[in-house]
Amino acid sequence: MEERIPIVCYHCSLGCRTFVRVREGYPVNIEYMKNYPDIVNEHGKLCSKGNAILSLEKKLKRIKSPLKKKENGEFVEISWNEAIRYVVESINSLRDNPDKMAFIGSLNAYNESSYVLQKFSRVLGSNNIDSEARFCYLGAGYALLESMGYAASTNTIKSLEKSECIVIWGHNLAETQPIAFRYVLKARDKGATIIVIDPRFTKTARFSDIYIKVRPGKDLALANGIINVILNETLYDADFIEKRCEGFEIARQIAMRYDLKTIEEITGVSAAVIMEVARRFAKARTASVIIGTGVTQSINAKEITHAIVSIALMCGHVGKPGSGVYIASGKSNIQGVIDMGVLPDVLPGHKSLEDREYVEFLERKWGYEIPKDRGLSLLEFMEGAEKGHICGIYTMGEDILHNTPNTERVLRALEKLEFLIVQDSRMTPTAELADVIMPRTTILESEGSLTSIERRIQWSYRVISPPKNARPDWWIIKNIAKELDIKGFEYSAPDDIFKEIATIVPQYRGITINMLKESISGVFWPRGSERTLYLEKFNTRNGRAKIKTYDVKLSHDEDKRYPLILITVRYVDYTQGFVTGFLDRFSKAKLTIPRVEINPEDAQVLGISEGDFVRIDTERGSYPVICTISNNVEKGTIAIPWHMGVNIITSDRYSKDTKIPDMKRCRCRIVRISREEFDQLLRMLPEHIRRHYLGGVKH
Amino acid sequence: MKAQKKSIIVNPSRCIGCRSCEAACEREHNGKSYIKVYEWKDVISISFTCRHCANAPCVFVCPVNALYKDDDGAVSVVPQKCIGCLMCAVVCPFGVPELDEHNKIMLKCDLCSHRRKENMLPACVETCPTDALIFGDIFDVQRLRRESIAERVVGILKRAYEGI
Repeated sequence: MEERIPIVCYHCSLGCRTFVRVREGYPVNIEYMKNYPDIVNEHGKLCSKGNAILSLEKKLKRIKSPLKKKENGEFVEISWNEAIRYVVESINSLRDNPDKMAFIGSLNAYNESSYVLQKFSRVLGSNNIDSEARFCYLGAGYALLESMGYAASTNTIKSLEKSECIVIWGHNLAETQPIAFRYVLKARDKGATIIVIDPRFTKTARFSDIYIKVRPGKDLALANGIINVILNETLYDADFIEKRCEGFEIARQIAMRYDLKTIEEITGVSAAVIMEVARRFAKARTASVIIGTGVTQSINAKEITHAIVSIALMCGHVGKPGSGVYIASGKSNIQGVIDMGVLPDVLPGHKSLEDREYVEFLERKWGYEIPKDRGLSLLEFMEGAEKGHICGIYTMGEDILHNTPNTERVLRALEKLEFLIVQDSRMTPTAELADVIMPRTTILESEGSLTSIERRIQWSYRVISPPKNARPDWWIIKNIAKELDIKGFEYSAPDDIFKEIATIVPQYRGITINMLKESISGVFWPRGSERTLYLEKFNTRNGRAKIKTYDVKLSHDEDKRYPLILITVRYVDYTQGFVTGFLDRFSKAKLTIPRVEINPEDAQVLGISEGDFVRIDTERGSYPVICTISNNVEKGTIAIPWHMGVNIITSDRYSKDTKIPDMKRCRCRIVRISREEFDQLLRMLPEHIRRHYLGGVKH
Repeated sequence: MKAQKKSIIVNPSRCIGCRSCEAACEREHNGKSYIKVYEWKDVISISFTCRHCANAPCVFVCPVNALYKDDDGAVSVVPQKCIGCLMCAVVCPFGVPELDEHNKIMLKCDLCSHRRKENMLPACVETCPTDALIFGDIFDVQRLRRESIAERVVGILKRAYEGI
């Protein structure tokens, strides 16, 4: 018997839907959802990751049973009872000092699992819970939360089609989210202006009408320049500002400090181009901005996003179909993770820890006191582990060793821990360091709800039977809670958890499990103003949006030892560290050694030619790569794909306020080396990274 | 020999090199992709597959008549007949036919004959996120292209007119 079961693709945050044809419990193929016009991927179209979703699932080597590390570093299989007993013992050893424990959520987990994890952490008394949303979303998320009231994109992806002007800021949409790029191209067909702002000439830039090659890290100056033009030429929507915004005067004073000449010097973008962009954006009837990781992985991500949002607000381009601000992000349930409050400083439903009423409400519902102080963030966990005030980390399916900047330091930190508990489906470098590993089911092996970047909540069903001993995340935490004698985790299915979420998280109120299960196209939050947020008013205290911009550092930070700037880029065929699909297909995916792009002028000065072995040095270490010469990057900049462990050398310097690291760019130098030196360097890399990503066996 | 009816036509000005077509093709054909994406410097890309020539040299040259044209004009292989002599590969000007090393027979794009039987488009066309791949009659495709350009020009003129 053959069934068609609807699932949500979990390779990025768009939430594309597809059917899986399941014959006698075995997934045989996928079927495009052709006749559902309301889903995000109209006509059921999928990108390469979505198309390969089943083959990836089949080829990944799974952890089949709970594992415990012996004295000699080898893993032995243990039973679930033993594994849970070990975890309970570890947690009990820190029960009096819950602040010494830290929890890391997963962006590849269902809302239900994320919710249960943060509830568990908070009930235990620790706000030390964070996820990798910090690296690719939160910078912009904080700014949107502060200025407009929700940490979420304002419109649906499809509404891009209605835009007359689309600004793609620091994002290679064509490479990272081809399905979203479909709507950009559709808008372009209708005559929309596409503006791409990126230090590297990308595929997306190829389709742009105006391309701005901004100097890496100078986005805030550029945004201020655009605001400056809007003010000088009175292109702003005075009516909209007066009725719906606040803070305009202060922002005006700040932006007016920078005349275009200064901006031109800082950003390397000519004044004429800045003027043209400002005019096109302001004069369009509808306009959208897409903010990508180029912005959100900066140390001043929040400031830049505030300035970008202010541009949109000043021109009145928020709160109508076809006009809005989007945050683009690579990982699947990133919006859900933020909604569920897997954050040290934000409670479920984007609520602040200072919201006394809500904290009391949660305590009443959960039956336990929850901590009121802001917890530590992901990078602070590592710092804490090094210094000794974090003793145990519990991670739910996240490969922190690969995804966190400055790998060697993370490695040192993780090795110092008293216990590292990993819940994962495959043997990642992080899992190899664990004391105990609990096998979890993947998205396709369990069911639950996922929230896409459009705020669309969709139900994904189970299509593959998991290995005998793999369990869903929520089941694992439920059993740990039971052993620890913590009440309130007596769930028997994800349905129960979603019902609880719908009573707790304000945005999810009124959404029932049947609504999700019956609808292919899902349900939007908040109920009421679904497709477009802020139609009538903003979700701030007084209903007004905050226009805000910040001062720019005028000086050029130069470093003689490290003259170049390294930026990281992404390839379409990769999901984080591993390749989707079969390996005989992709030309780029076959590379076990990444190619670094370098400008011809720099190459000439350094005496490097195409295909040479080079070493990239930063303050944190060296990384061996092969060189390719390309005009895509400006003089003084080099670009490198991040999938093969480049985080060994990226910067973990983070912002004091938002704790967001400057991982997209760092200062570096590049040195030509011989084949022998190259091999030697490769051998010197941390073993886990070498085995899994660089030069090793491909997943 | 039947005349060519429908084929996969690539619009390079819309190809973003996302390799969805490759992934879809390999899924439909047991892990082997017959459509390939070529990229230049990470920026320009084009997806390329068998042209299903009107006068296909591979069909003429095959000594055992393993290659034939089906009703939609797709050049396909009968695996039972193929002897793996590589003659089709020798004459193909595009380098399309490839040898399956395991079974020692030729494999090539068949425009997803199993999908066409169920009235579906070839998988690569169906999935292409930007509509860069079109499955159709060349005359229809070219007419549509002309129309879309005309529409764009009209749109621009209209806006200029409205702007005044």
